[in-house]
Amino acid sequence: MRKKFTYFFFHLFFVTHKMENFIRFLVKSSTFLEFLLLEALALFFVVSSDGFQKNVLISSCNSVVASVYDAQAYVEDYFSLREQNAILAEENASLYTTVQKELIQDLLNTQLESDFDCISAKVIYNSLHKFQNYIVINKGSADGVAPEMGVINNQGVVGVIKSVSEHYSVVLPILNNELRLSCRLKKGDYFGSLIWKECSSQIANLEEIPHHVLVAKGDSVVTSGFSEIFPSDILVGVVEEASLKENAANVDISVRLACDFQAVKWVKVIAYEHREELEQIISTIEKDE
Amino acid sequence: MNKFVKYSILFILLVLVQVLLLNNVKIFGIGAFLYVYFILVFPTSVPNKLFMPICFLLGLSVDMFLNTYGVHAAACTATAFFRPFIIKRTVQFEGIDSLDELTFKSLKRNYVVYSLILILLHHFLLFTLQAFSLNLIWLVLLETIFSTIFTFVLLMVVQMLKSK
Repeated sequence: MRKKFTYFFFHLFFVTHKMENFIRFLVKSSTFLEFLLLEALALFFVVSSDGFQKNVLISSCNSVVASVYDAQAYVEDYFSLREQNAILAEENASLYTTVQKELIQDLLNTQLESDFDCISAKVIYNSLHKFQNYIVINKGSADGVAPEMGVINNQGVVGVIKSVSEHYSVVLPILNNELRLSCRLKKGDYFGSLIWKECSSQIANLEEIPHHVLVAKGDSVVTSGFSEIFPSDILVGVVEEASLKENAANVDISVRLACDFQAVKWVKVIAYEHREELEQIISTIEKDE
Repeated sequence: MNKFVKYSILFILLVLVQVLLLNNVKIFGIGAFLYVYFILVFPTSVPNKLFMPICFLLGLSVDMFLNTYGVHAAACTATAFFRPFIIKRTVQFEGIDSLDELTFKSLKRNYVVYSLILILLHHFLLFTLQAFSLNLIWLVLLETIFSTIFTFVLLMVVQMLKSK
């Protein structure tokens, strides 16, 4: 017990003695005071940084600091030049194609201007996966739209106007088996009619092409221009597959449609200028028959 | 070169490297604070009374850039204050005197101990002050250890480049 106490006191004395030495050394050198002062200042900054009254002088609002960061941003801009360039080039390309598309459409319009008039309309309803698909557009009889007018977009033929109200019209698209579209194989000038039978929004069938015609995949199918509905040579689609059954009179041709019905947003209704006159003449022929 | 100019340039260079470069380099969210190199390399002949305010300014300038309001200044000042004691324990213990600038080339193993202790001290103070709470003590310790390793590796790279 005594030994332990002695040891304890000895230890205590030793430590305090050392501590005293240490403190004396610190105070004597007065470096310690300076240390405390600087620490106090630093901690004052830390504590006073809470709340709204942030010290502007020791934050990056300081003009020297701000200018250094400015310089950094200036240099970093150069490193991202390649990336920025790519973004700009992409944007440029997409703008270029839109401009070109518009130019082509303008050309198309001027070509049509002679006897066709175009009414542009927006698609407000579109069905794709039914047996009888319909499209509704936002132009009607008030805008000059009438039944049996052709509807196209920049890709190709969309369909034919079925019925009109004052401000809206129903379009019978190619994707409806009610529609038979008079078409022509551009290569060889053979005529046939396009009917949609499948339940795919991209494929339709071209019928009435005689069996001796050689049809190849990729041949384009265009409008015949035989009616007052469409002018001639508007793209309908390209031949996807042609097959000849034994003893059949006609070739079975499936056509990949040019118009992407899934994405059709804007269309043009083709209004034939002398439409009523033509209709009258056709009806007289029918009467004669 | 004049020592004053030399260390002034080193001061500015280290602050800029720290702020512009290392501040953006984080490995698993852990950054390095290489500007401590200034405290490690500063001539031992300069009295602590002058050394401490310089380190205070060093920390404060880093604070200005990082918006940490005096945290770095406090850590730097404390590190500067304790440096002579650490040098006594690690370097002069071996009887190497009259070395003004402490480098790895001249001290080898002792330099590793000396720099590790100083970096650890600095980083521990820094993270403790930043956390300002005892609840995060394990997080602070972990961050201190990993950040110390990161800084130490960078310091060794600098030493190797210098000795070449």
